[in-house]
Amino acid sequence: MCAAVTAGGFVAGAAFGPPDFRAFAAPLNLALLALLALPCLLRALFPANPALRFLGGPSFAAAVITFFVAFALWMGLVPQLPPGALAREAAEGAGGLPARLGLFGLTSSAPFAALYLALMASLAASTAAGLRRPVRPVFVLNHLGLFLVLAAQGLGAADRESHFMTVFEGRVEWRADAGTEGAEREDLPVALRLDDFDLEEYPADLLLVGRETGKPLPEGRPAFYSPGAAAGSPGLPGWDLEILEYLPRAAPAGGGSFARAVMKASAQAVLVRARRAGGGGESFTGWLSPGNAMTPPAFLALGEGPLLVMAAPLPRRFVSRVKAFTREGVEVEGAVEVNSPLTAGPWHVYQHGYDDGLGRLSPWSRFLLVKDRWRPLGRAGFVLWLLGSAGLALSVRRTASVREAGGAAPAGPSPAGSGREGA
Amino acid sequence: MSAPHVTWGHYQAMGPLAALLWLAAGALVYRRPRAATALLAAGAVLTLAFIAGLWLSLERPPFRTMGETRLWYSFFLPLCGLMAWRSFGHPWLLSFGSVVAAVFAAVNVARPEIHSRTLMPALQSPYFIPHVTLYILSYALLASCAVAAVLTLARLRRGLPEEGLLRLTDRLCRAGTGLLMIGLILGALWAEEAWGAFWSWDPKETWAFVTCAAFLAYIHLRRAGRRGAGTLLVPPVAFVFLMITWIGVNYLPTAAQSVHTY
Repeated sequence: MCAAVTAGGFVAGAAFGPPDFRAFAAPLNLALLALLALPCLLRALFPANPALRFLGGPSFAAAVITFFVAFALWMGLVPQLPPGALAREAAEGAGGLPARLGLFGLTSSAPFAALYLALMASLAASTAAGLRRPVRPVFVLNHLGLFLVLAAQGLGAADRESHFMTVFEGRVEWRADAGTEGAEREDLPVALRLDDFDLEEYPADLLLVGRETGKPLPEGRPAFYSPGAAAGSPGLPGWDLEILEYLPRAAPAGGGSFARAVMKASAQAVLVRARRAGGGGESFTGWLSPGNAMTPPAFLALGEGPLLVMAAPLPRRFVSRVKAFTREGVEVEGAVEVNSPLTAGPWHVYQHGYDDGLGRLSPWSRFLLVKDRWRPLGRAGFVLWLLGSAGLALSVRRTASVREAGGAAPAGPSPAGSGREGA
Repeated sequence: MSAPHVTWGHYQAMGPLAALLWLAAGALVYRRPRAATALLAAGAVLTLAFIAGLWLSLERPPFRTMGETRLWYSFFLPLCGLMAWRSFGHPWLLSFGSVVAAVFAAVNVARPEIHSRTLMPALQSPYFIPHVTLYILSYALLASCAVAAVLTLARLRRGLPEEGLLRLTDRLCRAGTGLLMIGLILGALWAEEAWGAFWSWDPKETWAFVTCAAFLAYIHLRRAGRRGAGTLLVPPVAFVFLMITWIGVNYLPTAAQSVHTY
């Protein structure tokens, strides 16, 4: 049956190309959800029906999962097009039959969609089986949770809006793009004002670079030294290092030295003493700085040997202070950073990026704005599935204790359709 | 700036010592089970002490690099072997866990692959520690499951009774897959907070899905009453997928599209 579903998907793909998932926006996806939930109701009403027993049984589930594994193996081995690109390619007639079948954008293809719907129908029928007395809570949590997750992620995708917005500091922006190359900006019913962008850096590592080649040493496997390394820690190949002073915010103070200076243009700086390893007494002392767009970098020449430099610092965190305005009159002010989005009415604002070349001096910040009415359902599904997974892991302990207590052998699976444990 | 106290340099001594303790435990478990338990626990305590010291020194959880995840794997694997042996009565589980943990410790002595304190902003999340810990713990259980399935298959081929080993395979699979799914779900919830989408079919996510689905296929095949060679081959094949998810994905053509390569 799975093979037939998948083959049907491939035939439909060959004939009509990849489906336009936007056409399944509400209310069509809601109707489809009701249709997919129907097996649950029918199985509850007609528990002995062989077709429904098969649909919700482990054999069909194993077959669907196996087909999904095959699809995902292909996706894991063959680079895939970004979402939306497949439909565009097929619409333009580029890519030929592979594009129509969706081989390079499998999750947007007709056979994948057909299998997805078959899995949802199977989960719905399974959930009904788990609800029959005696109720199997772990079984129900796993199957119902996954059903809700698939509903929110698959059917809900057509209603999901996501846009990328670049906002300059001190300005208000209401236009956004789709995040693809050359995408045009469009007006949104939500605007952002960027009040401030700040970036904290990790102490930049020290490394040696070849004087002639400019390449990090040793070539191919460069070694790094953290300014926070303990005294006596191994230095860089051939050199012992001693950090005499580290300034997280500094500016050039003349004569190759740096002084503490908290201002927009300031950069990290470190005073270091490098001694040639293995004795000899040759040592060099000087200031290093990775610099930035407004402060030139500083390095230390180790005699006739390599140069000691500071690498570009890595960001510890970056934060945008914004005010969001929606057309409905919602106004929310707050900080947006990675792992900490801001919510304004139906919109969720995520920190996406900044000017990497300018780092802390970036004059703009880029945000991802998402409006997803299916999000609560998806989260609820994940929570149920999480509880079910915990139950599955713990069921092993329970069944082992039952065996030790002299109970009936519980570990092996029961004959098809009558098992009372496991997933 | 506070000075670190424990570095990977210390592991050059602690790693081999822990590996020796585990190897001795794996050898002794058949005749001197108490001594084996004590040796295994000593190796685990030694490794845990190193992990704790490294955590303090790095000023971040040591979960970021391949070397750090190997460290956790070598810590969990013997413990899983110990628990599985005590629960299900198969001493080879302890031997297997100990030997593989010793191999991972040896790899970490040779190539620790960790030098930096930095933790990129996306990794600074409350989900980070449970997500990685549960994954690594499930990897340890599923490795034992794969070996148990191969042993079951060998007994099946020779016409020997395999019921006990089959039950063991099922239990290890359910425990490991349960933890794997929790790790996967926590990852999805984390991704939604960080990047605005629960799931984006990033190559690492795709392979995590393949791994999880393959073990789920085994669970469903067993529920359907299947116990033949084809069914018993699923866990070892799924474990190969697991290793690709963990290590191999970095070397595939799809790796360039991943935000998870490290």
